[in-house]
Amino acid sequence: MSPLIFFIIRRLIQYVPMILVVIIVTFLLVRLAPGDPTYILVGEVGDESFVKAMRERLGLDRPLYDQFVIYISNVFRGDLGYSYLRSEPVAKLIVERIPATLLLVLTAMFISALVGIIVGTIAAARRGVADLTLSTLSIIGISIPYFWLGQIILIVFAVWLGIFPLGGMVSVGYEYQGLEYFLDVLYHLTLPAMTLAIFNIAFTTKITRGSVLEALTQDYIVTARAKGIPESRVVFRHALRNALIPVVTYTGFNTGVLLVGAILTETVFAWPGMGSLLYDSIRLRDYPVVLGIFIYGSIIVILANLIVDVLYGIIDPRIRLR
Amino acid sequence: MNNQGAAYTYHLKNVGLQLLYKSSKVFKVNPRFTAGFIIVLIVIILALVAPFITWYPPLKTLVGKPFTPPVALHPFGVDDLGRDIYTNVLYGIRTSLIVGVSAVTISLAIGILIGVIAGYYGGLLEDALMRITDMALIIPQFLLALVIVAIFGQNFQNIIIAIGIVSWPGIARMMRAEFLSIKERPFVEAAKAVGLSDVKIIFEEILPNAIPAIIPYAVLQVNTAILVEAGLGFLGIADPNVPSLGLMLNTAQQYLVRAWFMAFFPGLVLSIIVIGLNLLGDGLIEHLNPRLRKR
Amino acid sequence: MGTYPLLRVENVKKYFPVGRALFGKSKQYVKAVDDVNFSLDVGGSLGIVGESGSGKTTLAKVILRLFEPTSGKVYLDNIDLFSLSNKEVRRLRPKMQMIFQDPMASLNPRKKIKHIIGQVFKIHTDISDVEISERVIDLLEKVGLTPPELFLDRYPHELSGGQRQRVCIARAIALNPKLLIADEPVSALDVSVRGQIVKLLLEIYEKYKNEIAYIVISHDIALIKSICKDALVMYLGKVVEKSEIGKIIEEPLHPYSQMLISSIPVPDPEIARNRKRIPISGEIPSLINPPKGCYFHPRCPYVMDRCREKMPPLIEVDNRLVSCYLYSE
Repeated sequence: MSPLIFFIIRRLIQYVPMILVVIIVTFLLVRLAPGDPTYILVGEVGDESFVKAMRERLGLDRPLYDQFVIYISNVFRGDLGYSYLRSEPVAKLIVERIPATLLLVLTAMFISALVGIIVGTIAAARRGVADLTLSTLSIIGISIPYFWLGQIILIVFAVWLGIFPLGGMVSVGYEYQGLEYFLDVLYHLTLPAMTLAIFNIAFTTKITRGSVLEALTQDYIVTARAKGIPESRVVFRHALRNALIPVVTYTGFNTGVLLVGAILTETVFAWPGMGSLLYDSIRLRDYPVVLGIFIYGSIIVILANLIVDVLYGIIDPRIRLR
Repeated sequence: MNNQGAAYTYHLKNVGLQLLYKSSKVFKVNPRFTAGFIIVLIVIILALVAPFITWYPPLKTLVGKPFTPPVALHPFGVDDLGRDIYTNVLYGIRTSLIVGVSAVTISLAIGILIGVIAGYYGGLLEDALMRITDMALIIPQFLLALVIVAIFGQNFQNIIIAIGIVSWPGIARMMRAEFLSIKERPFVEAAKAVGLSDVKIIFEEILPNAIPAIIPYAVLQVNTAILVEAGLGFLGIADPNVPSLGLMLNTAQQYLVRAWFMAFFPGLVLSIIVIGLNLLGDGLIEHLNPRLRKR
Repeated sequence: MGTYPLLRVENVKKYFPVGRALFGKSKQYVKAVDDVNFSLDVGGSLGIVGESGSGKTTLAKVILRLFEPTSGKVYLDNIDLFSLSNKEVRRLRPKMQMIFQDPMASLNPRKKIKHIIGQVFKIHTDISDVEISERVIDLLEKVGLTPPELFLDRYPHELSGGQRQRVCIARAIALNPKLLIADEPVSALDVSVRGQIVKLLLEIYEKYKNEIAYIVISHDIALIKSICKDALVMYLGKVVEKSEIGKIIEEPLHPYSQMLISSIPVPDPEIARNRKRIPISGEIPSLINPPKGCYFHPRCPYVMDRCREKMPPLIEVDNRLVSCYLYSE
């Protein structure tokens, strides 16, 4: 077996049990919560016959062990329960929303990686005033809660200036096709993606600056300078190149933060992804959906980490040996 | 004898002067730390004197006409239920700080305990604990906290506990790393040679030397906790009986078109708190990492 | 008076496993200490000499049970140290103390001197705090840190290297140990203060001669000579020679001892010119794969065929012990 395949299998063995752990944690929380767990697994529903039927289906009158087995096998089959309030299976509700969220996350990730890496490298190279200003700005960027930033952006660009829509993903009442549909989505995507990217630009800038600074203290940089290579070349060709791997992987491993960011940003812009679904479900006390989003969100993050981890191993063979 | 006393006093004075000199150097060398320090200080003072500089009880409805924009009596305006935003923002600072500090205290307790056990004893126990920690690091902490509060009940205490128990893994990792390196230092062996028990070695010898490294991290964790609380509030997961900056943004979301000030002021103050703590924490980290500082 | 020696070291071994296999135990070991035997009476002072990596420090730490032994026996005052539980060892610690190589590193940087020394009394006695501080002051005076009041509230980093080592010595003698091991007590110090610390160690030795035994570990034979009566030369975890220190210096038996001795500079050019010189050659071999036969044979100028076959046993020659075929019939 080639070492690469061996490495990938080892990573799978490492990550897949985490999904199981997420499910176990969810089950335990439901059991530990005060009150009747039925209302958490089913939602606060007044319909007695529905509740009774669900009780039987979930085995809630059977021993804990049985309940556990039923729960786990349900989740693994993709059955997260039924949202009574929306008359739809929870899994279907969530899966429908995933593409919108991914579109937002990936767009923001792309923009922020591009801008953050350039700005971060300049900040590290030009130590002094430019460095201080940029890194101070990036600290401010990291600090501003993006959901609030989204609200302000919405007020300025959509309410006051009126150049962007107030929310949603497509214009209501139009049946756009092809290119027009694409442009319409892009038009709606601009503000939420900008919001999420700004938060993440600050992050990538900070990481880039740190790792370029770290790279600049290495001996090979001193050697490069000693050879008389121009400073800009030293920074961009030598230091940045070696600093890039941590930046990219860090961004990848940061998917969890970005996903949470997307969930909050979506709420501001009524972007029809998992975040809006979560927001509505919290208001409606539709607990099965809340639990489902936690499970699916965790799985997305675990898979993203797995992918980055494996890619990292492919890029850098030394990692495989660990 | 008199001479000795004089020498001793001189020495004490010297130490005091040195401390003063050292701290002045921190402020001079690290303007960001200074800025953070001042901001945090002001925020804390505001939280403490909130009752004296506001003129309405917090959360009291209909103290003004709903949706009144900022005026002298209501500097930040009035919200949909006629509550004074300025009053609630100031009390909201209190909430944020209390949540931040208490949640971090909980996560420090858990994280230190786990990190210490893993770092000091090693072996299979360490492997197991670190696997759990790695898993806990990957699971989105915000969502976990959200689920916990949602199903255990939306009250202030649950919010603090939930944030506390989801944010220990980072501290545990740091603590373990610190323990692993400090444990190898000769003074620990010297303590063993003198006859100290494991418990005393852990708490009297190693821990005091490990704490400084996690202080900046703990400051940044306070920040994260404050942001998580605000985020939960923004999604509507909050204790309705406690003024919360996040919850105010949640209310504001429905009236963005009508009342910009409902979102603007609570968020601005929240941002300032977080910026202050971030500057403080980052400044501390840079100060403790001379390699970054010197260049 | 008892008829047994204060310290008996019998067949002590300490092997460190190397590398970790995924399953099962690793097959390779570093034999840091390999079958060491000696005994020491009250009033005795023994120097352990050897290059770095010869297992001197490991031996000391095994004797004090700072490392768990692989096998062997150590008796202190006829108590079998290796059979004691951790708790029992802790209770016995005041009787066996160690002075470490690097005084800065072996003092907790976050504790004041009075707490570092006072701690010893806190753990092992139940005397009052007032009495403890009296004892601490007393000790500081004893190790030459005067006036003691000036040092009580200082932190280790506020002291000089020599002063720190004095604190370490104070801590070690606080509860009147029977066995005191000093591991390279001056090598981390400035040359200018080494003499003072050696003087202090000798003073203490003179004072407690009737109740204490000393072990001093060093790579520096001259230092051993100024403090100890006997010496034990170690090479790759094994004892290669043991005798009175004077005899070793005048007439080293083992080729390795000869090599060490000839590395000491001699002030008198006459003697220097006439003495038998064996230049230091070669590196100390790997402890994981030591050479077959006598460990020293790859570096030995007198190497014979049988040296490559089997490790020579320790034999007695004129009341001295040596492990070399040059002296066996």
